[in-house]
Amino acid sequence: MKLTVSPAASESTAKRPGVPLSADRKLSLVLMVLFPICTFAVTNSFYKSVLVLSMINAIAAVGLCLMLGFAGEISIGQAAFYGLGAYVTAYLANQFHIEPALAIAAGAAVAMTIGWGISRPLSRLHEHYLAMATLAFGIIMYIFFANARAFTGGLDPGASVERFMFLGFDLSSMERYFWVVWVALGLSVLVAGNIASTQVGRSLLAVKMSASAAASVGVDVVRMKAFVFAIGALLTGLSGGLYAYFARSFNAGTFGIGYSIELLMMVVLGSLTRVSGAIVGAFIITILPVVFEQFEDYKTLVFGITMVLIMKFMPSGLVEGVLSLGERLLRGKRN
Amino acid sequence: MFQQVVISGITVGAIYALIAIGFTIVFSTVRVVNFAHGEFVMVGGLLYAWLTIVQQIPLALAIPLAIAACVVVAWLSYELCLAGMNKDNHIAQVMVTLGLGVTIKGLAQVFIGKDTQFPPSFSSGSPLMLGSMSISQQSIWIVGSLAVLLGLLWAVMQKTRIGKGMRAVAINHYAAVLMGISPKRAAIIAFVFAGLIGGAAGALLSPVASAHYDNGMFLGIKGFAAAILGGLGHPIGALVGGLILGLVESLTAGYLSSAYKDAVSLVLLLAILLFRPQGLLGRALPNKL
Repeated sequence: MKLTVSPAASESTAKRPGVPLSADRKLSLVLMVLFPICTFAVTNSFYKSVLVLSMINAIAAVGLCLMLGFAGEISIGQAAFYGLGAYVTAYLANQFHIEPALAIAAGAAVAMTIGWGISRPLSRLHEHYLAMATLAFGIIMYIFFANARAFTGGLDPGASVERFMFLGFDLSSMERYFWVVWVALGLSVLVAGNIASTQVGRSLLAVKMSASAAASVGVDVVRMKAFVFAIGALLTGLSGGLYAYFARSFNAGTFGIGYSIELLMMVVLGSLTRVSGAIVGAFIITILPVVFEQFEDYKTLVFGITMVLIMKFMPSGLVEGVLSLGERLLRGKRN
Repeated sequence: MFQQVVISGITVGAIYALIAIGFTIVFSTVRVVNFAHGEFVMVGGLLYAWLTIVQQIPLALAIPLAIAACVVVAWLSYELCLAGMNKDNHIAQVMVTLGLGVTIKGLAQVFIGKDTQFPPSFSSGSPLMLGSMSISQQSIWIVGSLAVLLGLLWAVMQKTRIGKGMRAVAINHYAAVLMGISPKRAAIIAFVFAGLIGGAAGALLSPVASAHYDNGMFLGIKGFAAAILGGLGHPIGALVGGLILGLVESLTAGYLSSAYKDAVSLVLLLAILLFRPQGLLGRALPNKL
């Protein structure tokens, strides 16, 4: 199937000025405006860095949202791509002293290539088996990160990078790095929104509902799965590269199963069918430990219970569920 | 050296086989891969350690208590989480069992603590010497328990009404319902068995490998690897898969690299999933696309 869509059949809002933005895009736009407002509103530099981290996580969550929410391809190994992005970025920047932005792009490209590579064999697997296989992939990569110390620095001493420079300008201070991440998130949301609102997104939804039915109406199922895996890995790798320059010094412990589950939490907490939901989810999950000081001790327990409750009672995501509940209540009042 | 590696491989393999049986029973009756199963094993080991070390309860009481607690955890897991869920929404099922696993891990962390514990062996005594090989007493306990539990499971599955009902549900869900068998009851019994055998595996393993709240996911994925290696839904497959996996791991650790032994068994899992998803003993399934 063609990935490009003829303008006549397209619902792409960018090309047709007369069509209003979809609700999802409006919400994403509002969120993208809210982030800078928040960063100007808070004066504490720690809070500013939490905002930046939540945007970095949002990029990865948007990628997982496309995979899980649109295509129904569950992945419990996203931390592997996050780690690949971070380590490739750090390795290129330290060994070859290339421009940091280029190093991040290269890290994302490597993650995308590997994501595409594993998607070909993995597309044979369905739900439970796919979940187990991606989990195994994530753990294998974690073991590699922790033990291949020549490349990654392992758990101790870990890896570190220089300041983030762009065309000779030092953008490493949190105020300036905010804008770097903001632009990256904006681009990710734009790409994801375009995918979601065009034929590609509808094909992905069709694959999720029934791979056989999708194939029977001309959707190239294997290619769509490979595509969504590659995009998911690309965005997660990009977020990993940005994290490398955010943390400046990190070790393999960051890229374990725990992060993969946190990413799943972000998507589940937001929405499985809206890109904007992933941003909200990422924001909530990132700020929770900051808002509640004692949270770290209970984090695992609270995440677990929340995940069970949401998936049992609102399988399309918490924010999504609350929104549709509100819609139903409003409609009920009008009648 | 080689003989010692083989003995430790069989010991670890027997544990993997016990964990794999839990996956197999639940998968064949409920059609769910239970991502929380590894946590049942962790709870068995951690509670056994906590009861013997912190509470100073005698072994003969601590072992059944730990296993009973696992049975309750497994039963509650099904009753509170999986019962009544849409059977066709596999992603939600995966996420619910995953969240359940995280919940159990969180409970263990909050109520028992983050320390690694080293509980005592089931019986103290010098290792058994067979020629130049020395076999620890715990290894004998592990292999013996595997034999007893497999025999028990076989007897229940073949000889009792409950077991026949469970097999009927596994073969054809709707036909079983028409014959008056309650799939919900079969599912509860499957989870109870999974908790029983998983808890026993955890308690048996903890004197050899220590107990820690964060071990569950790892034990679970190893057990799943063993189950899939032999063929998911096959109790004998679980045994064969567990032993192969245990031997591969201990040979890797002995001769290649102990840091990468887990990676080797997970690569084996991926290879089996991709090239022979029905397992070594299973029959080929019709492919969907």
